Amino acid sequence: MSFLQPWMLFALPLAALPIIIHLINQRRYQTTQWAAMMFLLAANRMNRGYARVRQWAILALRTMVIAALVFAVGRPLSSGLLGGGLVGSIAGGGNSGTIVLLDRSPSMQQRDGGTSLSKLEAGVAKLTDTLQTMNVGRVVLIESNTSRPRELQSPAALSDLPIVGPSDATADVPAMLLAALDYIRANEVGQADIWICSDLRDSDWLSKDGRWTTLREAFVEFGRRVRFRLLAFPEAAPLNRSVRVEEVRLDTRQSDPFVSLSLKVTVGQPVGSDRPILPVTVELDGARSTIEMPIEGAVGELKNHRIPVSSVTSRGWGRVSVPADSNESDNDFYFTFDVPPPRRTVVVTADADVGRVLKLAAEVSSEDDVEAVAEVIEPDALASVEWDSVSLVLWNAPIFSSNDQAIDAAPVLESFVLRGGSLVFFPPDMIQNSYSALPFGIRWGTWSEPDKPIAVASWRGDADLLAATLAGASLPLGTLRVDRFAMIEGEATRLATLTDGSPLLVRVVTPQGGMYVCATTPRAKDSSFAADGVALYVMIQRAIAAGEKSLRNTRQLDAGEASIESSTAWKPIAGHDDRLSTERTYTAGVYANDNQWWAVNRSADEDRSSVLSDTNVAALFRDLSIDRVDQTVGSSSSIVEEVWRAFLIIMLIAMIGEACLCLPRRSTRAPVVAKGLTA
Amino acid sequence: MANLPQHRDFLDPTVLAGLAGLPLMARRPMRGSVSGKHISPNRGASVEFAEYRKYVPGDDLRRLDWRAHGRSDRYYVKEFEADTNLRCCLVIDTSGSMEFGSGESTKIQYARQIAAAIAYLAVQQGDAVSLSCFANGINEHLPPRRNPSHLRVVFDTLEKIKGQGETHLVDVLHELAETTRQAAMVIVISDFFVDPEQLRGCFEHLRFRKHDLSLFHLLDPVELNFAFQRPTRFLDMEGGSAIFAEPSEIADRYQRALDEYLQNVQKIVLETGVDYTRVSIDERYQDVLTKFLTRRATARRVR
Repeated sequence: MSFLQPWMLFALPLAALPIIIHLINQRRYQTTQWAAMMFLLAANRMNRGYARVRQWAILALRTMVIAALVFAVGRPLSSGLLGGGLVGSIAGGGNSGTIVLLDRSPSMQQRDGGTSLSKLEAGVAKLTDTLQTMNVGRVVLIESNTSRPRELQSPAALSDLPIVGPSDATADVPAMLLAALDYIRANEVGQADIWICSDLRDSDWLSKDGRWTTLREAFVEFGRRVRFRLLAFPEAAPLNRSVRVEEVRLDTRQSDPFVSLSLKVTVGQPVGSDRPILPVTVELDGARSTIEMPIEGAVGELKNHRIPVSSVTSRGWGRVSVPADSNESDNDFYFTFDVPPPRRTVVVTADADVGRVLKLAAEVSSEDDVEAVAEVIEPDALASVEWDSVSLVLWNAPIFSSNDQAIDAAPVLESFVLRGGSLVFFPPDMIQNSYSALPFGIRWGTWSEPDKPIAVASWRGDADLLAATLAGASLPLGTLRVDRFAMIEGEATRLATLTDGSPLLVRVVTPQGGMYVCATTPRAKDSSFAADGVALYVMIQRAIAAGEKSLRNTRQLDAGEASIESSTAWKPIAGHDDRLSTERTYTAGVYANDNQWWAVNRSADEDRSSVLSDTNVAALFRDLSIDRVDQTVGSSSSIVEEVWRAFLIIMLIAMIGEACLCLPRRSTRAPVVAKGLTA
Repeated sequence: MANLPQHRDFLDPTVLAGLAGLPLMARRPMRGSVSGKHISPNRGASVEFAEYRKYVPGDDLRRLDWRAHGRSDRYYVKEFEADTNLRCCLVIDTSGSMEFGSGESTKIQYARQIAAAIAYLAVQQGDAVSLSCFANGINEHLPPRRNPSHLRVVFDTLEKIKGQGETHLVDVLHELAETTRQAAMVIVISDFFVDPEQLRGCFEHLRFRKHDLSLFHLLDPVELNFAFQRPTRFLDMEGGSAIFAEPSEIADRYQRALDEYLQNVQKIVLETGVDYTRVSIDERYQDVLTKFLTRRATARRVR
């Protein structure tokens, strides 16, 4: 229990007044001579227990009356959520800050319980109500889109702000907590109450993220100065449906061009064996059609559904919708399509063998309808490359030319990567210290030549170039033998590691595009990459596909993937009209910018409805002070509310009880002590 | 001049004059020593015919009823009721509790007034009066006398008595039942603060001895109402341990104990045929006595 005016509790000792008065009264006794002692003795023996209980009950009730009055004046709050108990509420009144972390992810737009409010709206309303009840002044809001602290003058501003509205971007709760931590440190907040309003989706909380350990350790250092209040809406809608376009492709090679769609519909819980049909509406450039999609288990999938388009169509956009349900944010999915550009690869090498192998691997397209072109050039011929049409650059040469007149290719390659292209480095035959630098802070180390060929110890099979195939099979990297490899220096993510612990393939962290560095070459004397060509082929084709996306006129983006700055220039084609222009990157829809179209949708993680278990939440906040309140959307009860009326009622009841106990007991028979009685 | 009436605070001549017209009657036959106003169990020489009895040798021939002999040719003796005086034994409790009084009077003072008035009335109608004052035991005892000068001794004794010590009422009543000659009028004036069940034995003992037992049960109004407000330490007037009590808490149970006690007493006196008068000492004693005497004068007598 907490109090809005906890200092009133200093008057609580007044509750002892009845006891003190009783004791004083006991000391003010009179002494009298008495004859009828036998009745006093009998009275003392009679109902001794009840009399004593009655006496103490009266005292207790009188004490309760005063205590209830003091509590009522202290303006008690109904919930223990405010935590910290009495001491906390008294001590926490000073330099305290209230930080609200608001999860705006699509799953927070779920509605149920027969109300028109979504989880997000209900959470914001309850938070506003609670903070106002607690007379909280300034509030710091950290919402999930930007994870930036924003100071509000009063809790009432929470419900008025447009930035607490729905979003299609997945939340990153660890990032929000980091922002809260930075705010507390920067502002030296004495006592911080961090309110987290979320539906506990694992996709938002990222419970396995390494940042949690750091966060927990940092918050533990604050001790009880930081208290967490978790306003959770863990209840998932069992009948929620979501739709996603897995693949969209425009095929204009034949006389009847068409758009091929692969759809996936997920329902909240498995349906029965009767395979219900779900109508799915497809809107293509404004024309609508309906597909009847059978649902099996909890999933309905439709592969390569063809929709005819005009022969002059070179690009377009569309939307797939399922009927309305409790969460409208995952009922639509936007997509764009265009004619895929040719996949052009530039192999920069002076070594003919390497050039031949890499050219071969790049030239054979993995898709029938896409043309793949590769050219091998010397490093000196770099100036002749048309970078705007290149998807992949395979570089097996020094960055600096070996001529006296040095040509620095690094800036060109950096801008290529930042444009979205893919770049793979293979070590040059000779690595000179002065010419070993690569873009983005990576350097070549020395060549290492082990006594006997070494194998690949491990590689990332879950993502990126070496990911397993769609069928789930791993790439045959286990058979690869490396006879010679160059060391890679600098900060990068390892994708494959040799048995001696040296990296074989790394990915350099870049804002856009992809830059990879391979520690060996396909030369026969260096590795068996060329002999066991499957791994190399898959790597290169994946790198081409990734780089090719940047050349397309249309793109699919997850909400929040693009920067706010770039998205403000977007012009909406389809989507929500009621969202802020600054939040277009977080809002699902189709946007146009210059010559490109962007389809922004929720991330795939949002379609997974897994919720953090209580144990997981407890583990995340281990050793931290946290109070959790589970709410449902339909619940109209406040998190906290003033309950002084209840204390006044208790006081009244206690007064009535005391009066009843103090009333003289009514005699049930006529008095037998009449005067002058005779017999 | 030497025989000027001595002033005694328990004697009010106007009250005595008012009560003088009322006889003190016994409810059962009394065995007196001389002729009096009360019924005797023996046959005597009054004018009221009692019965015929067969003549037996030795009977006074003057009492033969010759008319009956003429009618039946048998000898009958005609017998008449005897009227006698009575011995009025006044038994006064002088234990410490009798000194209690919340008003102008105490219980022992009230007892003095009643005893003195009854003694006066009894002597006036020729009955003998004895006085026994008891606490732990019988402290004072005056044998029955019927001469008016005996009154002075009785009054002197009444004036002297003071309430002190414990009550051994039960033992004293048993002792008096044995020591007092049969068929006397025994009037006990006390607060009877003893177990009612123990009193039953005493009353039955006195009845067995053919005594006409009357009780004046003196109670103070405060004892009846227990009208205390403040916490009080009650000191036992008979020397027992003190009790500290909160009157507001204990009053109901005190009242219940008192009610129970009075009901038991009431039941016992009804079952043992005792003439019982409960008196709150704020009542006027002449009213109490008037009712007492009137009730006895109008009661049906038992021979």
